[in-house]
Amino acid sequence: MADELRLKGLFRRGLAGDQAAYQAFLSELGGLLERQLCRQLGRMGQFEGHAEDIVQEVLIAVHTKRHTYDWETPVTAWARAIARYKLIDLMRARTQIAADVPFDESLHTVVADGAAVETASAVQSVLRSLPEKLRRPIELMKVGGYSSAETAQMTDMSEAAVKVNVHRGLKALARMWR
Amino acid sequence: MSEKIEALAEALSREDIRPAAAPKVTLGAGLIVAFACALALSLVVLGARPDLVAALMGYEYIVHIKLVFALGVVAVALPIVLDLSLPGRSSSGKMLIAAIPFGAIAIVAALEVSLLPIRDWLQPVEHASWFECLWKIPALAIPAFAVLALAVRRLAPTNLVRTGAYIGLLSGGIGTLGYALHCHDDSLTFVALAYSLAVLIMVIFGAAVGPRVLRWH
Repeated sequence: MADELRLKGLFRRGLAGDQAAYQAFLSELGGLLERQLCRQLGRMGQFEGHAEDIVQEVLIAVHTKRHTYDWETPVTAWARAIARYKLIDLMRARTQIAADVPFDESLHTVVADGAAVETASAVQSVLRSLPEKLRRPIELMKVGGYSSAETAQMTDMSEAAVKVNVHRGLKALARMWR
Repeated sequence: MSEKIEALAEALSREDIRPAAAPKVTLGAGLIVAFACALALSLVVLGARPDLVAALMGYEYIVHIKLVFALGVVAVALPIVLDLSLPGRSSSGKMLIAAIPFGAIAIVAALEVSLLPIRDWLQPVEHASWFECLWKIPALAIPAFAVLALAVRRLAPTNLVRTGAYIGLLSGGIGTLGYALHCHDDSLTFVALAYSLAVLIMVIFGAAVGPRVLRWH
């Protein structure tokens, strides 16, 4: 209950222009969602380590669809509905992609976090279709195996921007692979 | 507190926080364009019934009943589509209200039938215009559906089958409105059955197509 009022207030101030309040809103909401999601994933028999990545997807969706909150329903109910939709969407993307990977090719298949499946050379051709800003961080982090800090140095982006762009890129890849 | 989530929160808060257009504005704009499409197709492509003005001013009120039915469908479907486009809203009560226009026209048609001698009761079922009605209403409704689906996709529908179905209902009502200006058949019983069936076709179409067309990321 206290969470709800607090989050709603932060959200309101954030939308009015208070950047610090908006950041606090997202990060507290993220923590709340992560706790709930870990429990839910545990019950579903899924690997709880994925909770963090799913929550990041949900926060991006919350941010993108922030205009769909109507101020009458509790903000936590709104966010949870988005989270439920995103969870199903990501699960479906993951199983669809896994089904599309051709097993008769002698490529090494690696299941990354989030919703992307990478194969050693197929990833190169699809990556080429991404804009530079998204492609570089993914190439370095996912294919090259560099950490986000190292990638940040090499691409002259902040570490957080690297993470955001990797996620945007993976989302775009997942969409292409459908 | 997760470090990844903190960093993401910080990165997102640096973006332009001003939200996009209010949902009611988006949906309202979509509705207007959808109506315009259906009316244009009906009047320009199909052509208004020649006696439209006379029928509207006359005492038989058949055209009025058709229009009221169509507007009734739109009026009950619209709030439901809005509810379904905003996460976390429930609309269970309103969904029952959606049956009202169909119930109303069924009652009116039943009254008409009760005035006919029994041997004429099956007459509406034998109408030749069944086929015409069942393809023309969807023909007008589908462009409206496309426009509305585009509008709803800018919002955040969470149950794509259900939202698709109700957008089908909404666009079915809009298509029916357009068709009412063109339709020559004035048998109320026929109208009640055929129009309702055509709208139902749109509902099923919407439910089937929803998950493909309404998906957002």
